[in-house]
Amino acid sequence: LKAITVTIDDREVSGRPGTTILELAQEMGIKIPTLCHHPQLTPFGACRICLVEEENRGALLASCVTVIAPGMVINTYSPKVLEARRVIIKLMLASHPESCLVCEKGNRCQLRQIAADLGIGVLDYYKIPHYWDIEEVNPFIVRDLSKCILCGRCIRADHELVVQGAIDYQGRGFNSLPATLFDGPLESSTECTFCGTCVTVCPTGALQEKGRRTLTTPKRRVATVCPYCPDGCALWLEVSDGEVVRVNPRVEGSASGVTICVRGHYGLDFIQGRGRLTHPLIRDGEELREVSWEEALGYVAQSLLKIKGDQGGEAIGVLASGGLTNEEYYTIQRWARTVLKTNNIDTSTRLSTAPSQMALRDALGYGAMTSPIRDLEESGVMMVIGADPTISHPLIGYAIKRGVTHKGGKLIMIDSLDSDLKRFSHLLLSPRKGTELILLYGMIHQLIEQGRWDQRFVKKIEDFEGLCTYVQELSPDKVEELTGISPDLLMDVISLFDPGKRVGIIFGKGVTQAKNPYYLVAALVNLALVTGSIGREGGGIYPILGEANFQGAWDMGFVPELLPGHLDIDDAPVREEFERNWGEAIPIERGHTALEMIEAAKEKRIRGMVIFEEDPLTAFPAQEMVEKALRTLDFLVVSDLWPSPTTKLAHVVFPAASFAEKEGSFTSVERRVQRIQRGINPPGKALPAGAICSRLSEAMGFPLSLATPEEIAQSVPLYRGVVEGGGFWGGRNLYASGFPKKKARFIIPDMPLIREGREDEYPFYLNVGALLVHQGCGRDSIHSPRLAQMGGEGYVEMNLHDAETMDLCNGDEVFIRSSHGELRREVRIRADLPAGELFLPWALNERGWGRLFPLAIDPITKASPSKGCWVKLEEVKDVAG
Amino acid sequence: MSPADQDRLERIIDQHRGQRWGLIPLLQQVQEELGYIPEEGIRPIANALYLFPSQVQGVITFYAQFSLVPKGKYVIRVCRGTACHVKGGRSILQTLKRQLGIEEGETTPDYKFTLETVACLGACFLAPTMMINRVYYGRLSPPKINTILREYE
Repeated sequence: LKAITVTIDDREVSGRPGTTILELAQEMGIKIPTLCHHPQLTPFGACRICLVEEENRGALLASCVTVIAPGMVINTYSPKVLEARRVIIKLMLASHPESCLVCEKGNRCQLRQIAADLGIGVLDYYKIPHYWDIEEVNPFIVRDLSKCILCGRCIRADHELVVQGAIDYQGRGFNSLPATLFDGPLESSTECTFCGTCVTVCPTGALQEKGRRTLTTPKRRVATVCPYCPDGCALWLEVSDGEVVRVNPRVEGSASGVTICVRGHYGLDFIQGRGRLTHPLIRDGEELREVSWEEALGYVAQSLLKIKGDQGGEAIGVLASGGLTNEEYYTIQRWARTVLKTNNIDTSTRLSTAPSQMALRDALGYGAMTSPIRDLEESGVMMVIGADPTISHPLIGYAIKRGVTHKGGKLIMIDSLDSDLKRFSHLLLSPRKGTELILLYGMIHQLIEQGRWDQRFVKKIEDFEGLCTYVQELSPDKVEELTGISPDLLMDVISLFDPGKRVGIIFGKGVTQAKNPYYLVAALVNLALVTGSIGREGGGIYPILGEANFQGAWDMGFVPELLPGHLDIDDAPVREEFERNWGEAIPIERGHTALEMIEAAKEKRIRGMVIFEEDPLTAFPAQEMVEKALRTLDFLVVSDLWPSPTTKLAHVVFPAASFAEKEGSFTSVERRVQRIQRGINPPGKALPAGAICSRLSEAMGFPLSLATPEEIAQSVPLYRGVVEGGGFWGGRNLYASGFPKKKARFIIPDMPLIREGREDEYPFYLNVGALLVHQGCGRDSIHSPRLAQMGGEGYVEMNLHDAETMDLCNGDEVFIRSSHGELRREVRIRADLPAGELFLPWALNERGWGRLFPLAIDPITKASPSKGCWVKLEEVKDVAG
Repeated sequence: MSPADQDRLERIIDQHRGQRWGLIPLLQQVQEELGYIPEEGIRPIANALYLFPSQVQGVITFYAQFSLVPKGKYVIRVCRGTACHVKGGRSILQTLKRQLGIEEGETTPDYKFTLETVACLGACFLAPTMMINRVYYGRLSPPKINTILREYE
């Protein structure tokens, strides 16, 4: 390509063909005012404020949409240009209300800034403002469209970036507005998710955040990462006078850009929500009494040492949530292994993440997402199975929708039928419950039969023959007989897998919390390997699970079976090196995983537990058994942000600091290691989990300081050079330069592919899942004043047809009975649920879902199915009526 | 929407299914056959063309030729251009309002007439003018209005 030379403001400059005048000028450091232009959106040319003069022709050109042509002589600030810009701004101001003094946008208003730059003070034009109703019923966004300048940024962000389609222009001329369908408020739109991207890009005060605690312009901002899901959205915490007054997306160098979600944008007000724990508490009969840190730590140290002395370290268990920092995970596991002398270390995210971590590690080498989220957009085929990324991992949802809408990707959805994504899907598959494995191997069989597999790539994989043998019986007719998926539909699916097209496979808890989760994940990996989609751009395995830093927990060895860096603890040389570095022996007994700890506690093999920021009573299945187990403990210490059902059982409660009150790093689901920074002070005497562990260790006589990023990089080679840089460990694409064990392998299940029967007594399949406004079980989100307004009370959703058959209507109460337990819930009818299926949110109404599930520990992964079960319903008869 | 309209709408949508570029011809056909574009039709149209419902609404509300409310059998468009104004266009409009008992933009309860105004019909030499559906009427006067309306009774 030949460079094009132009003159801008008397300086000769050359640029690549296709560069706009604006881009070139910005590279030269020339400032041209813009309003409708936004670097993340396609150029639009609506506002004309970026006009420049082409001196050869005397023409005024909108620089944001005009590409450079040879010989152009551009003047960006000629009198003609400045006059035109002034007129444009004056016309905008003439139809704008004079409310700058009370406008929340204040000095951040770009219209006002440009007016000031152009020297426009009192307006000499006759003002005709258009007043529209201010919409502010929803808890997140205020819309005052009288301040709208029709730049279309909100509409383009909605269509191009988050691809929701909630708003578009409506009407014409003076009456045009960005409007929802039927011009209702945002909360009436079925598309709007309140991600707030429109608010972020709005240049004026037309779209504003609602319910801010203070209206000042924040004095400083702190770069951090969202603590809800593990997408790792980069945030600015905007802080004033020791309070977080606003949270905004941090665009530069982040995975998220301007697109975060309602939780990250408006749900972090939980930090300053009511009821935080502020003082250490010690049990005194039925009551918990406020004590000093010294007293609490001394008591805990003494109690743990006593259990260690009497029963040994293996009688102590350490459990944490998926939301601690890498430094904290590293320090706490080191403390548990070297001071407590136990390998009973685990996070609650094991329930969903272990199958994925273990199968990916066994097949490919590392338990981690193979490719960056952004690459997903480039996949020719995207297959979503047992997941709803639009709710659990919004960033991945946006990427899938962009891939389908803008890049021509094909979307196949399996078992994810109630997702908003189905609007974008090409094929929806709903195999009989429990037959997903058969469907996947049926697909693999057909891909091989039809030659739609990557022969050169598969040469690098072990045991292809084993795979062929395993699937050879699975003819399309057999698949139909077992799964209910017709041969025609199966062929439609296969026809999307053109050779050479990369496949992005996205799976969630519907896979990892089902039966045989290890083999389900392995089957997905096999599918990706057969199509040659691993280690190449635009393909990969995308497990979407867990909490903010679950990946960090696995990386830091916060699991019984691994030492930091995904190293096997049974590997003696590895263990010995850690022992040398830590100067202490590491116990060799295999530790208990999260659910095994609960079982061991019930059987009195574990006598003391230390729990960091987790509430097993609401996060684990078999609620009543968990409660019994925790009550059986001799000693329970819980460190948390809020009182919870678990802290009620604790002997000692420590007040913990939130993500905004500590320093450290999180590793996102795409392996991006990013810093979180302290923006405000913890309330009262609360301390970060890492500091609590460090002080507790000291009180036990083993001084242990919080690990630094350097120390982690030292003992975890994967983290070298990425901790500070915010990069991906293992590189952007994990297997771009081959597999760590030289060859990957196909994992073949050691079980026959048969359909399991179900008991006819339970006619409904109950799906338990997250809500957009409540991450997982809602541990943090239920404490957000704004998110709490959207959740409602506990309910169970059912299909209209099922409701009519059972003579139920909205608001009727039912007993939900599984083979294990029962629950009482209000019925809510939802049109788009498939018949015979129910949906129960994890988060709401005391989160009693755990009563419906038994503890059925999977032999390989030690997880327990807890995403869905067969139930029956019975209407609650009003006794009085 | 009546069941008959529903059927007609579905048939028109089917003709354009999957054709993203076919939105305007589709809307024109619906407007022509049903006399308006029913609100309930927006989502099905959007789904069939892989568009967002809000986008479809945007196009409908942008063009004057599309209407989201049912219009009368005869749409009267009175010219409010300069030439017609000078020649007494206002009294033409007032006569129509009085005769039909409706205001600008409204439709008679029997869905016979809809009264609209336009900026110019491009027939200034015939001022004052109006159109009823596709027929022009020029050199109007209030008595002439009564005669014309009687033709459509």
